[in-house]
Amino acid sequence: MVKILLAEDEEVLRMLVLDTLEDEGYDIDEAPDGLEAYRLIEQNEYDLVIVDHMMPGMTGLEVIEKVRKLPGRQHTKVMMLTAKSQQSDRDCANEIGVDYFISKPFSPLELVKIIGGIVN
Amino acid sequence: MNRWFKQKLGRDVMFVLYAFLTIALLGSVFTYTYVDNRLEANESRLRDLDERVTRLNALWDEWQGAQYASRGYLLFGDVAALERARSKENEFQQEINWFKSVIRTRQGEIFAEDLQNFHDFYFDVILPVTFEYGEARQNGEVTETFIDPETVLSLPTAQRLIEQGVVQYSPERGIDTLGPIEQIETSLADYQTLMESEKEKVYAEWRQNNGILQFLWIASILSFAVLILMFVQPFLRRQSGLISRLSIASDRLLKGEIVDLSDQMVREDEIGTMSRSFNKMAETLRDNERHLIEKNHELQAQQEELIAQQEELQAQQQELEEILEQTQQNEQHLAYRNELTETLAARDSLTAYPEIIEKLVAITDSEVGALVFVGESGSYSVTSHGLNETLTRQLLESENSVLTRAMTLRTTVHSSKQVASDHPLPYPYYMYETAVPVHDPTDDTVIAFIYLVRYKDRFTQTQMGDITSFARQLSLSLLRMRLFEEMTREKGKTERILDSIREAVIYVEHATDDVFVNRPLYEMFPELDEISSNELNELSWNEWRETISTTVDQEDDFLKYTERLFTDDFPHDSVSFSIRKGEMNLQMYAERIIVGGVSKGTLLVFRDITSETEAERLKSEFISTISHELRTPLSSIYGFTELMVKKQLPNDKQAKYLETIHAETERLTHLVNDFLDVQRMEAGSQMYDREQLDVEPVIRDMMTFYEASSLKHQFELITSDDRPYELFADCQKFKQLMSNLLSNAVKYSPNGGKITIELAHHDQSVSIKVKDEGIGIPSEALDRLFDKFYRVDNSDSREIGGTGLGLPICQEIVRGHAGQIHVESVQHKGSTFTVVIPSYEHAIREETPATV
Repeated sequence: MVKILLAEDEEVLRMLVLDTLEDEGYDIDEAPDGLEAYRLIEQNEYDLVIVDHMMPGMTGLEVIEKVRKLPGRQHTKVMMLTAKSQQSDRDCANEIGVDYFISKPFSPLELVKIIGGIVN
Repeated sequence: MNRWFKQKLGRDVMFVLYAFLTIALLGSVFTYTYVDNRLEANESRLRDLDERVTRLNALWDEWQGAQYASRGYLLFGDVAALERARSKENEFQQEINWFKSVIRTRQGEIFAEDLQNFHDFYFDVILPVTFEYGEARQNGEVTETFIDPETVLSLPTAQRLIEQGVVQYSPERGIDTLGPIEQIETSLADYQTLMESEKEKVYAEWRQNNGILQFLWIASILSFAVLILMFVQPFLRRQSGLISRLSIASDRLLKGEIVDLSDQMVREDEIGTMSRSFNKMAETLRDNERHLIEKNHELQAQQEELIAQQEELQAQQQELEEILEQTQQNEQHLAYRNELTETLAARDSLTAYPEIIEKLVAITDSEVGALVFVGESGSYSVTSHGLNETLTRQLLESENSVLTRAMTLRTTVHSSKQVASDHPLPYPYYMYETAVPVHDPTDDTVIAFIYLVRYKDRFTQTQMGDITSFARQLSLSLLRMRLFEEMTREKGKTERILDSIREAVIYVEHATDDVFVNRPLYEMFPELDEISSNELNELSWNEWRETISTTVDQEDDFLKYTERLFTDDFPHDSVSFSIRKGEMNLQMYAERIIVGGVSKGTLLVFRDITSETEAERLKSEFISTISHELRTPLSSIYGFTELMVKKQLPNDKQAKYLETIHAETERLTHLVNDFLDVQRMEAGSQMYDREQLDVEPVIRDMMTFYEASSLKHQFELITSDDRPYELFADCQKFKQLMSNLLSNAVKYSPNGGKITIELAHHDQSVSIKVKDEGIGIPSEALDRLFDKFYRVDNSDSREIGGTGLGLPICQEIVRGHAGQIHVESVQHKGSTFTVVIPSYEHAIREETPATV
């Protein structure tokens, strides 16, 4: 089964993504902040990590930056789901090692399609 | 002999010394030889004793050898052993002979005899008997294993010996063989003991002799020392007494006394010689003195003559001095003139005038003088030397004064008059005046007058010439001064203008490479102050550039831009950079100053754009935050509606999604409203509809509303007194303020608790405190609490939603009412927000001061 981590501090948005993806049969872990997300990635191997950027404790970019230094996590696929959508934000994310960049607001059904393309 | 001693000092003492040394030497040689002989005798005696002991030991060994050999023969019948025993006889006899040859004492003689007896007994009795016994045993005549005395007695040799009486025999004791052997052993031991005791004795004697030798050595040294003390010291004392007498005599001679040394002069030694010479010297000195006194008289006569000549010379000198003074006066006059010219050439301000007139008076030998400047519209300004105010006024106002006449005539005017007798001078005299006009070289108008007065003599032709030429010089100088002052004034004006603008400026003059900077530059770069305070004016453009570049964060950009300033590639754009690690943001641009098509200089301007940059940054940050804040609820609404539209969902999910969409829409509405509020307030366009407002009932109403909506919280209102709490406030905005504070108090105490509102009167204000017992605020967050969109970043507060605009709105409302808001908080204990707003009365007074 495909394992996905969803790190998002807004509970409502977390529910939206979770509901949508669970219907597709993915196994999903949730993290309400950056620290928890990092802890989970350290312990589990995910097929995809979806992170928000603006999170308390540690931002999404900070999490990814740290994750990329972990052994065996250099190639974990990372998707950033963020309200920051300027080109400079994209460049910055790309440099740090984010593979996919989705800006808010987004279409959940589009997201399902994209994720389907990534994990298969 | 006695005479010989007296001829030289120390001869007697040296003689004694030599005599003693000789005796001491001879005595030492004798003693040494004597003791040495004694020691030699000791040593040879020791050697002799040693030899005796050695020989004694050898003798003992020989005898023992013979005994062993004879025993060998007896036991084993070894004939060779018997022969060996016999052969020892000779060696034994030789040793005995040696002892006999060195007999010195009675003991020695007895010992030698003992030895000889034993020898005879052993070799003549024991050995022959043993031999015979041995033969008998070999022949089988005797069979017993051990020697039997009976058998031995039966042997022919033994019988012969007994008969001869050589061997003692008695039937009870048999043959006595042990007697002689014991006797010789005792004798040997005795002799050895004797030798040892002899040795001891000789050693003792040797030590004694050594002691004597040491004693003699010390005694000779001591006696030498005593000699020196006894003879040499008294001698020296006597001689130094004589010499000191001589020196006292010479002192007295120096003082001019007469000295008699006749007793010492008769001596034959060196003291005698010295005394005689001394006496002769004293006589010579007396002669010389007499001679000098005569000479002195002669010289005094000569001196008187010289004094007369000198007086004559002095008279001549005085004459010369007078001439010199005259010359010096002329020189002084010239020097004054030079100085005056220099003063005129160098001075660039009005401070020079008193000096000018003073010098002019000195040159012309005048008593008083004045420079009278003709101002615009006929006014005068006077710089005078020795002229009082009354005289000055007379000079200016009297119609008959030389000055007035000169002004009218525009030419030089002289006058002479007899001065009235009330003048300080004690005799009637003439006063000569002159007024010389100074023309402006540009338009020939009279700009000043030189006025001079002298008594006794009229001005000479030369002096008048001086004055006239000086007037011309002065006119040129005045023009120059005026131009210079004008320039300085202009320069000052430019400097003041440049100093008062906000931009910092550096101007480099191309022709001279001089650098001019304005004050704002130092304010912008305080580093310059440090290096330039002492060498400010000498700094070159490159030094300025280098110093500034060290503070620039983008040093390369700065250097690259400024490098182009003096090249054809002149930069026409501007460049922005920050200094001192972002402390200040600057914009820099350059301009060429071109006069008549020629570039005269380069101007570099620094503009402080820190606040613009900061405002720009804040604006962009604000927009970015707003967009983020809006996107989050939008995402939810967009996402959930899409799911509802495009997917088949069970009813419960549909209901939940709709609820969420509603809540998010509400949040979005709040956000937009709050955002608009903040914008309006910040822009200053918020209008407050202010009225007299008693806040207590307003707060009570709101409390009731919140109390009803939250079961976990208890509300309490505390008032300090019964007076109404009146503010000059906008009721709607005040409600918004309280609503934000109360809803925060509820939201941030999720576990319930007491919420207290305290109202209090102060001198000029009313304070409102809202206190909760909630999660509190971490101290590091307190500073930023009123920033827009700031949300306390921890897990407690994350659960609690909010736009992050509530408190900024509160702050804006309070500020809009000229009040203050602040917060105190202890994490996990609760927070207290305090709002202080001017009371109605105070606010009204402040608001409308003009109309009251």
